[in-house]
Amino acid sequence: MFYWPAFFDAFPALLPGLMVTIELTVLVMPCALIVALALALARLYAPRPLARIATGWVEFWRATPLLLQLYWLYYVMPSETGILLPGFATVAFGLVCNVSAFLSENFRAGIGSIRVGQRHAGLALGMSETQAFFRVVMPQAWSRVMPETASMWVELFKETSLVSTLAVADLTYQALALRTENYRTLEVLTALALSYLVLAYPQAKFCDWLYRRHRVKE
Amino acid sequence: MSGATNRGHDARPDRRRHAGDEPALIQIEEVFHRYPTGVEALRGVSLSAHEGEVVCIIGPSGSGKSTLLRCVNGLEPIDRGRIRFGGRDVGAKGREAREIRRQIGMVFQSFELFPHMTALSNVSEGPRTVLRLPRNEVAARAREFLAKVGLADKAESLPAQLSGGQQQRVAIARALAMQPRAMLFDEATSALDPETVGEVLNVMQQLAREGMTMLVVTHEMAFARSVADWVVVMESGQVLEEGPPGRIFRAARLARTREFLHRVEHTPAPEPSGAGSDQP
Repeated sequence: MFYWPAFFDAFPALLPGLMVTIELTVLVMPCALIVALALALARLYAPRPLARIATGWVEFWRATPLLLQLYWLYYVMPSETGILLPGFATVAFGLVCNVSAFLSENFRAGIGSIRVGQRHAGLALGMSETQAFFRVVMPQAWSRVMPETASMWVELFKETSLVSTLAVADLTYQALALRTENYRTLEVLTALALSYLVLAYPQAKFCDWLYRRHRVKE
Repeated sequence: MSGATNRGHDARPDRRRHAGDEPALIQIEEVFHRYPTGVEALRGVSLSAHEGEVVCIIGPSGSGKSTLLRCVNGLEPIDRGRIRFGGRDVGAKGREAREIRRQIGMVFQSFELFPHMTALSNVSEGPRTVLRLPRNEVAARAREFLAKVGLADKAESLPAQLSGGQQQRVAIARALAMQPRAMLFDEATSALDPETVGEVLNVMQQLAREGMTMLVVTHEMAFARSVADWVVVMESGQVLEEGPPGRIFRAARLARTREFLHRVEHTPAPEPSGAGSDQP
């Protein structure tokens, strides 16, 4: 029997958690984009040893489960390295590492798909390598990786729910806390699901729109 | 600049190969280039182009013509030899290389327009990003050069909305907007439909008439014959023979040159060595 009042009452209780989830996403994604670009560039253009290190780093974060990474950072890193960060910073760091690893693969493929003649055309005009990259190659690569990046964004928004297991009071954490108070598992979790859906769907649509706008016809 | 007073206004016929009173604008000396794959693309190539000259480089595919052009503006490093542009060594790095490149316009076989920018933005890109001209000057200059290639009305079109010939003309305008001292054309018409080749050749011919120094790699023999001041025939990374077009096309010294010319002039498509099996 679905108890509607419990369902509706859940939303105000979820609100603070929602804020944390949004904060986490909004903070992690830009950082991950920058780190991903740096990793992709290192793998494509850096001297071999550096490129190898970047590759190793990416493979490590791609090939281990996110939950394990977060646990390790949260429980093992403080005791083994003495680095003690607040819970929020710890999970944010873990998410940046994980998401940027996936994004960098995507970026690398995108950048690699722009033919060398484009770079040459920029250089032939007298551009520096940096200008040729940011004015010519990257805008085109970005258009190609946009859809994948957009779906990563939505993915990240949902994956932040894992941090609830580490006492970071995000949306899921609040829902699980509320459930232990009122035992309305069905209503609370349905409210939780709806919250994610309502928030993620427009984001996905927005990303689609961005993609259509920036698409490069060739 | 120096000693220009005692040189009369030269008429076209005797403008050729002045007797060393002025160094060539583009001077290529004994250049070697080997690709990382091991292919030796250039094996001791020397040639020069004086201010205002049109030098056409012809020869079978894979003879190193395009590689040579890329070496001239430093897109491809050279292993040995020397390339000088306006008396300065090409092949420097960083700022120095850029300084030289901005004086040399380059037109590519596959246009290489920036697909994410309109025709106008493509032409504006150099003056804006490299020369850092003020905004209104950039726009005025870009429109001027688009008009020069006859595409003033296509300013807002994206490359994908233009025909091949139009794209190549935008690419020429893009290079000209940097107001270069010389232009390099790397098989500028080879990727075009036959019906749009003419419009691009016309623009090139007009440039030649205006006195632009041009190094033109081409399979368009009619163009080389009528527009070039000097024709260089290359094969297997070497200069086979060079001279004024009249002599090269009518009385080439080497049998191999005559064979090559015979082959291209009797093949409708601009791909002379298509068969590939014509040599033992």
